Amino acid sequence: MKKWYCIVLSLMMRILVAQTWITNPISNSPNGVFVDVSLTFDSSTNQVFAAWADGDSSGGGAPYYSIYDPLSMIWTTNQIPSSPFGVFNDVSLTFDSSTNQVFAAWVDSNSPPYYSIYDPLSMTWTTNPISNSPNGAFIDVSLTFDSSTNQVFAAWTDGGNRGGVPYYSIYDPLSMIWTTNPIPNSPNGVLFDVSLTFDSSTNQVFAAWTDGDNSGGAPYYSIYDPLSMTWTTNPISNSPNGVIANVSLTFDSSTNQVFAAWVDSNSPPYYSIYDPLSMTWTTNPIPNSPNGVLYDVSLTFDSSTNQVFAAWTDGDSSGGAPYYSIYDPLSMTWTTNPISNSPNGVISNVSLTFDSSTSQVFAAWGDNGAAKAPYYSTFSTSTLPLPPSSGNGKKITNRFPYEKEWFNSLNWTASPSANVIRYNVKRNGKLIAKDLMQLNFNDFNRPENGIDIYAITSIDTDGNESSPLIITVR
Amino acid sequence: MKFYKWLFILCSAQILFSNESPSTDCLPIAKNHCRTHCRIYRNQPMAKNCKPQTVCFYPERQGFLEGNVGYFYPFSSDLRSIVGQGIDYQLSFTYKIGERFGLFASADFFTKDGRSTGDHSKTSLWILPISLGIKVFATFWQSDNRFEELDFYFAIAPRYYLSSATNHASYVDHKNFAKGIGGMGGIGMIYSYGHLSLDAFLDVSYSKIHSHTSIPKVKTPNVQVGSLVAGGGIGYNF
Repeated sequence: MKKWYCIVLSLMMRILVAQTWITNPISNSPNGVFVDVSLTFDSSTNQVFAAWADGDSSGGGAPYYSIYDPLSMIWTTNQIPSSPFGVFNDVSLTFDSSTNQVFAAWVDSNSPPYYSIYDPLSMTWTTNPISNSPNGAFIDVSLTFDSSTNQVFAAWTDGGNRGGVPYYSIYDPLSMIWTTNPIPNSPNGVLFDVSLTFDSSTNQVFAAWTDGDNSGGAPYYSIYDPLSMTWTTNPISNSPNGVIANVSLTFDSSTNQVFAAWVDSNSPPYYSIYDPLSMTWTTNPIPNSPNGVLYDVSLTFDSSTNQVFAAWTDGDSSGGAPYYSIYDPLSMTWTTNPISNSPNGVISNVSLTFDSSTSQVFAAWGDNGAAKAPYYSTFSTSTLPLPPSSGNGKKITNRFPYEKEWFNSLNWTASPSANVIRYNVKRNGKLIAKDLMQLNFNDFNRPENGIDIYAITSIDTDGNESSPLIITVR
Repeated sequence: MKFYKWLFILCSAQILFSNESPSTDCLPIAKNHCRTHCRIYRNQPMAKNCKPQTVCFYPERQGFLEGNVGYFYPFSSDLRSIVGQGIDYQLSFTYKIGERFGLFASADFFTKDGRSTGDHSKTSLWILPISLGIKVFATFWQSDNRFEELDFYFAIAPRYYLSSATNHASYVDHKNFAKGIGGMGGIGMIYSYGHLSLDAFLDVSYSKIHSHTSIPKVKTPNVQVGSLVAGGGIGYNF
């Protein structure tokens, strides 16, 4: 009964809250036949990073990267310097929260994978081949950050006709050396795709990959145990066989479940949820999804609403917009729609990431059918305005010739929501300032000693009030 | 007025052009034409072998009234950060008791606009210290006829402070009155030229005073209104 109540409530909320994507080309980007794009969120600077590879067979080029400034909402795009030119098939990004560095990796069709580290202080990339890696016709690479050991994991697949097993490599931040090995116990195959994610509840790295040859098969997954430093590889259980072009993983930190999703070339996308207790996957098609020649899928976890987002692309020649679907953990249902305001295109790839500073899901994709700039789209899970993204407060002694009083000086950054026009301030639950136009407030006559907790909320043009930004002043 | 002036110059000329040096031991009681304006240095019997001589001196000064202007440096760092430093105006009256001592009364006035330290609200302050004390003089140099004189002095006095602050902020009192007792000490140098005097001084004062408030969470701490004042002025000797 309680579950039904939750489902009804969830559906009502979904109807009440109009959710739309805002789609635009990534600014300052050159046009190109971009076959792959990857996103990651840098939580140290609250910036979203995008990178994409130029898969044009006429000459290729170095991968591009772009950094999204949440205040100006502008991307700054450049090529990753010191990168060899190549017809790169894939690029992947991850954020190393121990060093606040963004890692990029990409693969060529006949060389070892390259990686590059972005230093946020000097704002430069340092590019090198992943050490100890064999050459190969690599068509995909994936990165993830293991926050328990502060190590970056890379994995890539060999898509050449001769097949092979996936490789993985672990980057040691102290020696700055990669240690590369094949993922053991993995069957050979013409592997098209690999994806990594880190399960912070068990401190295990999950890998999943697909065998895209004509004989079909279920996706494989492997779990890396950091204690024994071994992989345990199995096919994803309860999965139908198919010519699977792509797989994606993400970790849902609210339920401690790993989600996998993959696309077949002529069926709706599938998703699977890994139960860490029974160590089994539960696999189903994402409902309400149209069939298509689906090329790519991406997953991300929205920690503000505890929802998993999936997005995928239809790469057939007739073109189309990418689709997305949101998994509601209460009702355990997906709601699928095309990404709104998106131009049609022969889209071969899509990537998702969640910006926890603005509670927005970012999607980005490239068009494989025409020379265009990549597109990105932002999705806010709520129509409520966003609160100020950061703020601080301090107690200040205000000295007059014969009197002394204390006030709390508060300031905050503007809400990332464009239609926010005013701010309210509550102190210890009581409204003390309303409809402020400025981004600061002084609360006078406070006790010399004591703690005040302030809640700053944004008010938009429709009068909607955001969730609060909490500032504590001691 | 002119007549007396010429009499004094005439008396002085007698001293200046006399061939005999004046003897402080054998000065007679002067009974010459400039008697009314020539003071007897010592009223003692004339020695038998002494040649009578008339010496004219400028009248001994009984006191002076002066107006001074000084640079006011508050000792309180809070006051300095609120109103800073500024100009102090002083009116002082000194009545001499003998050659070395004097009683004095003075009133200073300091006023300045400033800003509160936290949110920089406008505020203004005035301080009125009133002193009643003694001065000890030491003559450093004087002309033969005492028309010109340079004296050092040391002053010490209890001081009564009156002060007020006007605050342009809604969360504190608009007006604060404060009063209290303190003390001052000072040194100075006075150059006298007839009735005219020029004073240079350095005063140090100390007092902690405070105001009262009824506003919750506002405190009225003791405020050190003592200061260092260095300045000078002009006065009238009588």
